[in-house]
Amino acid sequence: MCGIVGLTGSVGERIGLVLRRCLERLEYRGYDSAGVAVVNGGVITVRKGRGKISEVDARVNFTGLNGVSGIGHTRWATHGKPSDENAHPHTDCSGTVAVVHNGIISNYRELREQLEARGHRFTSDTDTEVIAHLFEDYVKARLTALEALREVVSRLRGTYAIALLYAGEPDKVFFARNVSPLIIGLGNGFNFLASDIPAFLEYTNRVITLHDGEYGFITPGSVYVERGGEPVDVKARVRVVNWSPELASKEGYPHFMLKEIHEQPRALRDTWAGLDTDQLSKLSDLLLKARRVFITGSGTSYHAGLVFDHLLSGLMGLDTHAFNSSEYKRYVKLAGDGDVMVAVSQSGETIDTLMAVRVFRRLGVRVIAVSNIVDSTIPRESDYQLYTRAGPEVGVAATKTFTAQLMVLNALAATAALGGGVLGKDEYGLIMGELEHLPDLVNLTITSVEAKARHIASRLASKASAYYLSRGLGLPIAMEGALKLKEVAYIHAEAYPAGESKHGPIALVEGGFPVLFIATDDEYVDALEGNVMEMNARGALTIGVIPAKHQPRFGKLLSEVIQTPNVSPGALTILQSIPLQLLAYYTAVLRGHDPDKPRNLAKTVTVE
Amino acid sequence: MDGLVGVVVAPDNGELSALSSGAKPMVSLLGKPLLRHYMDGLRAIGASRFIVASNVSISLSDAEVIDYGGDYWATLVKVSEIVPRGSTVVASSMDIYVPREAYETLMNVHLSMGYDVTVLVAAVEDTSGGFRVNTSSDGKVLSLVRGGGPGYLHLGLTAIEQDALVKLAGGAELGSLRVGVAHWGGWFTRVNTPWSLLEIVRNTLANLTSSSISTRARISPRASMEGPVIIDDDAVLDHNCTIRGPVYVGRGVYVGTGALIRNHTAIEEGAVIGANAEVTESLIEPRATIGRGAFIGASLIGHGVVVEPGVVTLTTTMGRKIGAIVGEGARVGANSVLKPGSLVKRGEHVAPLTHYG
Repeated sequence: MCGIVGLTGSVGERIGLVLRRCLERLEYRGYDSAGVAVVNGGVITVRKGRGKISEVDARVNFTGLNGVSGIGHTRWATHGKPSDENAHPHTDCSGTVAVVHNGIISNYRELREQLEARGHRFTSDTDTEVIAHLFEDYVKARLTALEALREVVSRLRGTYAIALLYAGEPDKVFFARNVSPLIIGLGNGFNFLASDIPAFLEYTNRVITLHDGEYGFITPGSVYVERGGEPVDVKARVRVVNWSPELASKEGYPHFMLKEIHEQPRALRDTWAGLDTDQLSKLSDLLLKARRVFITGSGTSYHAGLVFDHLLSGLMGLDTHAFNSSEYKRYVKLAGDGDVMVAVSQSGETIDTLMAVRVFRRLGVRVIAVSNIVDSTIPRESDYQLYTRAGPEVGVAATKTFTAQLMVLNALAATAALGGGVLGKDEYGLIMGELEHLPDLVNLTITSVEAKARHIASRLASKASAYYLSRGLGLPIAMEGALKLKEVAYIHAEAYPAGESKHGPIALVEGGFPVLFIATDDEYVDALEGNVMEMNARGALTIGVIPAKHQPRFGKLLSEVIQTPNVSPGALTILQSIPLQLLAYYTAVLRGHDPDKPRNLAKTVTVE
Repeated sequence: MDGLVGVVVAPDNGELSALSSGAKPMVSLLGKPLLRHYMDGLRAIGASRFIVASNVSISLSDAEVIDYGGDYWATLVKVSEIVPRGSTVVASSMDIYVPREAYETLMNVHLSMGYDVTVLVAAVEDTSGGFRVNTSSDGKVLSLVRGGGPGYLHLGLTAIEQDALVKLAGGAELGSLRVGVAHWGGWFTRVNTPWSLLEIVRNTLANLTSSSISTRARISPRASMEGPVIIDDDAVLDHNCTIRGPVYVGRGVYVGTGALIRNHTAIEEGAVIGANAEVTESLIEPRATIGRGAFIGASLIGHGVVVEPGVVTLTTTMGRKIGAIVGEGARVGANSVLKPGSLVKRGEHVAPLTHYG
């Protein structure tokens, strides 16, 4: 997913500055590289680079650019690294065409080969660059810019929203749309293009939505749209948006958190597709040969690490130590050559984790980084990299990146179990097959539990405290569930091993005190049943997240039950995370809090 | 704005008929008829032309009134014949009440994504009585079916492009159009019993953060007001009465000496609250009179009702607090007791000292 913007005409401010502001509003669509192109006096200037918009601007100063028209792009790399070369806009050979694009050109290889055969030189690995060269090719063949665009559109396959500058017609920004979103913003003496409305809402609130297959151009005073060679009259499509830009489009959701919860099937599918079995085997050998394995992370990433820790030590008998990365100093004396560290960080920039990685590497420990951001600092400074491909996560409370981390770590643990002889080939095949099909089960889980989670949230919303109890592999999930409730709903929530509850915490339990149980499907589940009865005896509001097969056993015991499909214990951690995310989300909303902006929290913690 | 047509599907199914002779769309709520809440929601997202479809006669200066088509989608088929080419239709059903932010969520999605049709949904445990929306894993609408069981309930709010509406009216399958979903995470209320109105009052007032007091209200210096309150034009708050917000006091309402109006209460235009009476979590419809020393809790008092002095409503909590419903024009005699869940019929006379219900 990427964000694009285009502007022609004057809004009374330097065009580079306006484009930057628009891009910042699109940052939720991606933020690993950014760029701007403007046309002035028949010359196109492109400034771009990897990094966040503010960082790139500080380096190349696109705020300083001025011109008649301009385009901008903020990128999220899914394949290939974010780099200066791969950042948009892309230009043709002569530098007279610049283009930004959101989507995927599915026939770009074929087009690129044809264009290269005709002498075009490519400078990036992106599919987008073919658009610039193709356009150039047609303009060179003496077509007008609009004719060239018409031909380009007829050759492209796939999904796209495109904004294109051509030095020969500097007062125009050309565009085309197929599936990927693109909106026109109508101003007085200027016109905008953007991936969504809030991008330009500060400057104009009159919009035209474009339909699939439409293309054309904007000038400072006009809009021209056609489709299949026939002009389209869009006058009747003008709409006025008279609500506030704070209510930005979240593609169908009131909050990013709910959007990202619903995006998990896709995030997991992409993450699975990005896993390389050869690399998993190589890393599993490394783990199996290691003297000990350190596992570290902060917050949600730490909880994913704890699941991995349980899989390696509890199921395979490896010597593992999992710790919060801020506490790494305690383990420094243990670490040395022959050890391996698994460092989990969604952003790849978490300062505590980065410090631990640096110190442990210096001691001779080989580090495997697990991150959602390609080529961020922690992966860069580590020996090996495993990436989740969950896409940009805007909600401060991690949701889809957590389950994607669990998927990667489950796959790595299963590979190691195969290598270590703990799993036979058949069992390994079964587990990997289950992970592969998990996105569908996740989708099923979301749709089947959301209503129930909303209902239970209405019972939790008036409470001051809650316990999350589990045993074994469920414990990290309980900890993650409690963390979610704390951070977005501001309800004091604590997670304990269920067996610990009678050693103190149960003193707080009285009538109506909510206690959530996460029931695993292993040898721990018998003991958990006893813990539920203890809490019932004290009048607690007992809520269970259980695999469907345990329904006969727990169904009558609990006040509220959320069932998830039956899967193997490792995969169950992913499914059980989902109702707990929804529970935290709806509780926050019912209590009147904005789950996307929890107080005192930042998405990436870069101070110790 | 031109091009955005707001449609309110406003049937009177008789659910609220006890309260007002003006039928469901005209029940007064927080200072305006229920119908106006829907029209204002549509106006907030840019509608300037309105169509109201109802099976009861309604006269509006700023909307075209047409016959109800029998159900929501049949009504939209009728609407398809009268909306201008190229417009966007946003239709809201009075079977469900959603707050204004939900309208904005729907429009944000509809315009940003460029869908032909966008439906607003929420996850609920029981979708019966409405439409359930089945979606694919990538968020596309697969079908709308009669509800039942848990799932995503269509909240009665839909944005449709005119050309898509014409195709649907002509029998096209939903699957042949680009249909998107907007998810609503906040509160909403199904308007199917009079109790629903109390829920709307409660949720709307719960979001009130500051007070607004009309300069045309007459307020005794010895009246006290706590928490967020809305006091409308020409309301009178007499000596020593207490208004404990969140509360709405409508136009021309009289609150007598020593009366206590507690949280989540709406008192509509021209109602009279007698001296030392207490009202909490209730809706008092226009021109009702609550006699001296009465207690009204979690109740709905219909248009023009007279509750004589000393009447007490008893309440019980069954999921929500339940008091009594007193139908339009009824009279409840002095010192009567209305048991929880009592329904005093429209125009009924309850003799003094009755244990009712």
